[in-house]
Amino acid sequence: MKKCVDGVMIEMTSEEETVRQAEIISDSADTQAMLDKLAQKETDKANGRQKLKDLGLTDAEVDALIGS
Amino acid sequence: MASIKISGDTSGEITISAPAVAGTNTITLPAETGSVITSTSLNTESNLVRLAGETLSSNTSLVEFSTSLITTTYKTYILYARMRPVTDTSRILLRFNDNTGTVMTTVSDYQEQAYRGVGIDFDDDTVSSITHIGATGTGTGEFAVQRYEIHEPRATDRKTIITFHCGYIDAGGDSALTMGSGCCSVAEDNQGFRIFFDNGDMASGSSYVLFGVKS
Repeated sequence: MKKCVDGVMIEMTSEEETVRQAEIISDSADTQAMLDKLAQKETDKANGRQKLKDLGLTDAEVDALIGS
Repeated sequence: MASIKISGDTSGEITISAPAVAGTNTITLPAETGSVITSTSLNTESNLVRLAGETLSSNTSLVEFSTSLITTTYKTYILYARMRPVTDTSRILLRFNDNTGTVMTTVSDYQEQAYRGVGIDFDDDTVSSITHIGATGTGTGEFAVQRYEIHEPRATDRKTIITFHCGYIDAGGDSALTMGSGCCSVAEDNQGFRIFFDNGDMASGSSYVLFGVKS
């Protein structure tokens, strides 16, 4: 594995490669956690919109309140 | 090659030369007082100073900028990154070093807000990196273009602020946009930073260029 430091390509040490591999695993987990939060927020938004519509608001009125 | 030589008052001379095959061209001098900027002096005279940049000649795990380049000379740095991942569905991440030079990797290290062309907006004060959220891929034509503005990384009394603007072709082959801002959660001297993909290497042929912005 290689890295570029200040414009110079360097072969990573075995220790650095180990750290990098561990980071890929943890970063992928962090990414999934972020995507899960966003998905939940999407669900909450859709549910909230539906509840407002159930109260009688039109889509245009809901858009005016919370954005499209 | 035809040329004109102008002698210095004390010593030496400047030679102004036409190219061997000169065509029919005119260079008009400006009607003002000043000095001519050359390819040598451009970097020192310009308000944007190119500090590093290249096209990666092989797959690369990360691109890192140390305190050799990230100094107190500039308060703002601009980084353009045009990156294509080796692994499909990847996101470019940005991380900083703390005041000991150790890379910061935990969710207590960064905060970020982002607005997206597709999908819901993002606001999280506990993230482990600055991310453009959406993923790019390895399909035909897919890559990501990121412009980061990094403010006050070496200040000890201010949190480093990052603004970013990312256009990318997502893993489905469609145009996507993320614009946002973030910061390091602690005010300290951030001794360098790095960019990389969250799940693999940057592909050969990816490129970047880093500028320092004069105050």
